[in-house]
Amino acid sequence: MRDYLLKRLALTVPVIFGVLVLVFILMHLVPGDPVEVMLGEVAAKSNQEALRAELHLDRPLYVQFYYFLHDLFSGKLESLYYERPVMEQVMGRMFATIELALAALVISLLVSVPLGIVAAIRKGKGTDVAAMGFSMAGVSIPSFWLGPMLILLFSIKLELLPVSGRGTFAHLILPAITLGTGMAAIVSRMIRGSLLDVLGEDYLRTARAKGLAEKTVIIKHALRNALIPSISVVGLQAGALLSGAIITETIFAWPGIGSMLIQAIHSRDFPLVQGTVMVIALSYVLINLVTDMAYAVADPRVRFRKEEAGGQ
Amino acid sequence: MDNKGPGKAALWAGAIIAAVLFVSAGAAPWLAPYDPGAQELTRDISGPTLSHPLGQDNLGRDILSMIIYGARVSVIVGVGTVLLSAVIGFLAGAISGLKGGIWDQVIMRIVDVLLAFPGILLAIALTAVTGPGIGNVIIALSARGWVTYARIVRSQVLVERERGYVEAARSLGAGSGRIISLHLLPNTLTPVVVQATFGLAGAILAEASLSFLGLGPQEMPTWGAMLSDGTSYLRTAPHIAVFPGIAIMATVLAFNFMGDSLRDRLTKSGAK
Repeated sequence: MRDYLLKRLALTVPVIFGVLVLVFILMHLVPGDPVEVMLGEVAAKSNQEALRAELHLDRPLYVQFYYFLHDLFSGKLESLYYERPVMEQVMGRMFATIELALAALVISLLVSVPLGIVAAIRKGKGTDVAAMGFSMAGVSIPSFWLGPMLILLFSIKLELLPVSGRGTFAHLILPAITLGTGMAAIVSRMIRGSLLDVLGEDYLRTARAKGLAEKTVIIKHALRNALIPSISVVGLQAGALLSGAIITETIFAWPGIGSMLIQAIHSRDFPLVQGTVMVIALSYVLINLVTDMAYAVADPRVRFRKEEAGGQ
Repeated sequence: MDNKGPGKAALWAGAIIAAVLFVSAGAAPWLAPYDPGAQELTRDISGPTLSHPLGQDNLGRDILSMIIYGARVSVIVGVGTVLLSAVIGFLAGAISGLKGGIWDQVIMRIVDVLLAFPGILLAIALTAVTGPGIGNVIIALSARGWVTYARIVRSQVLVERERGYVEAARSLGAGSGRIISLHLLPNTLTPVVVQATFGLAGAILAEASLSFLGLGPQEMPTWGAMLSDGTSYLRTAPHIAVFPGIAIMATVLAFNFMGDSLRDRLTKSGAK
C-alpha cells in the first residue's frame, strides 16, 4: 500500500512541473509584445520598461521561469488590476469558489445516487427511461443557459431566490444547482451502470438464495461494491467543478476565482490570469491524487494490481 | 440488445438535427429571412411575431436570422476542432503505441500535463492570451482535444501491433509511416469516429461557452454571445436568451445521441 501511494505521488511531480511550465509559457503566446498588450500602445515608454523589468521579460527564458515561480510564491508578482500580490488575491477569492463547488457536489450526489440506484433496479421501465433522459439532458444543457433560465423562473417570475451575489444560503441555491446538474447527470449514469454490473454477480444470487430481502441485498451487498468504481468518476467531476465554476460564477456574479479570472482576462491582467489558471490546475491535480488514493484504499484490487505491474 | 429500438430512434433524431445544423450553416444567406446584422433601433424589444418568429434582440436584430448564421460558427469550430484534434491525436497515439520507449514516455507525459487542466480551462487560458477569432478558438480547443484521440489510438495500436499482420508488414520491410497509414489507420477508425461524434458536441458546447464569456469568435454572430447578451434582458425580453440556448442544447443533444447510438452499433459489429 505504501509503495503504491509513493509511486502515485511520484507520478504527480512531473505533471505539476509541466503545469507550471505551461502556465509560464502562456505569457509568451501573446501575439506581439505582452507588455504593450497589457498596458496599451499609448502607455509611456518608462512604464513599459518598468513592467518589462518587473516581469523579467528582458532576461533569458529559463531565468524568467525561475523568477516567475519565485515572484509568484514570494508575493512579488502583483496583479496589474488589483495592485496586490497575485497569490494573495487568488487565495482571498478561493473560499467562495470552494463553498460553491462543495454545495454543487452535495446537490449532485443527493440527486445522482438515488437516481442511479432506482434506474438500475427498474432497468428498462419508465423510471429508468426518465432517469436516463434526465441524465442525457443534464449533460447537454449548457450551464450558461440553465443558470439564466433558473434565474428567470425562481428569481424573476416566482421571486423566491436572489438573482446574484453571495451572502445568505438563498444566494447559494441557484448557482449550486447550475454547477451541479452536469455532474449529477454523469454520476447517475455511472452508478446505474456499475450497479447493473454488480447485480448479475454470483455472490448476490447466493445472498438472495439465503433468503435475504431484496432491499438488504441491494443496500448491504450490491451498493457497497457498485459505489467503488464511482469514486474515480466523482473525484474527476469534483475537480471539473472548479472549471465549471468559471461560467457559473460569471452568471451569478459570485465573487470566486472563476469570475475573477474572466475579469482579469478582460482587463488584460496576465499575471493574475496565470496565477488563477495555475491554482485551478494544481487543485485539480491534487483532487485527482486524493481520489486515486481513496480508490486504492477502498478497493484492494487496485493497489495490488498496480503494485504487481510496477514490480515487474 | 434491448436498447436497439431507442438507439435507432436516437440516431435518426440526432441525424435530422445535425442535418438541419449543417444545412443552416451552408445555406444561411438563402435561409435567413433578414440580414443578421440589420438593426431596428427605433423599436422596443419585441418578442415573437409573425414577421419575426423568434423575436428581435435589444438592437432590433432578427433572432431567427442570427441563430441561422450562428450555426456557421458552431459548424466551423466543431468540425475544425474535431479534424485538427483527430489528426494530431491519431499521429501522437500511433507513434506512441508503435514506437514505444522514449516516444511513448514523452507523449504520455504531455498527455498527463494537458489532462491536468479541467474542462475548458486551457482553452480559456489560451484564448485569453491569443485573442478571440475562429482560428484561435479552434487551436485553443484542439490543444487539449487531441489527447482523447491519442489515448484511444494508442491503446488500439498496442492491441493491433501484436497481431500478425503488423509483424508481417514489418518483416516485408514496411516503414512506420506505411504501417500507420495502410494498416493501423483502418483498424483504429471505428473508435475514432465514435469519439469524433462526441467531440463535435463537446467542441460546439465549448465554443458556445467561450463566446458566452466574451472569448469566442467575433467575426459572426454566435449562439453563446447571443445568450450572453440576452442575460441582461431576462426581466424584459427573456426570448433573447431562450432561443439561442435551445439551439445549443438541441445540437449538443443530437451529437450525443448519435455518439451513443454509433458506439452501441459499431462496437457490436466490431465485436462480431
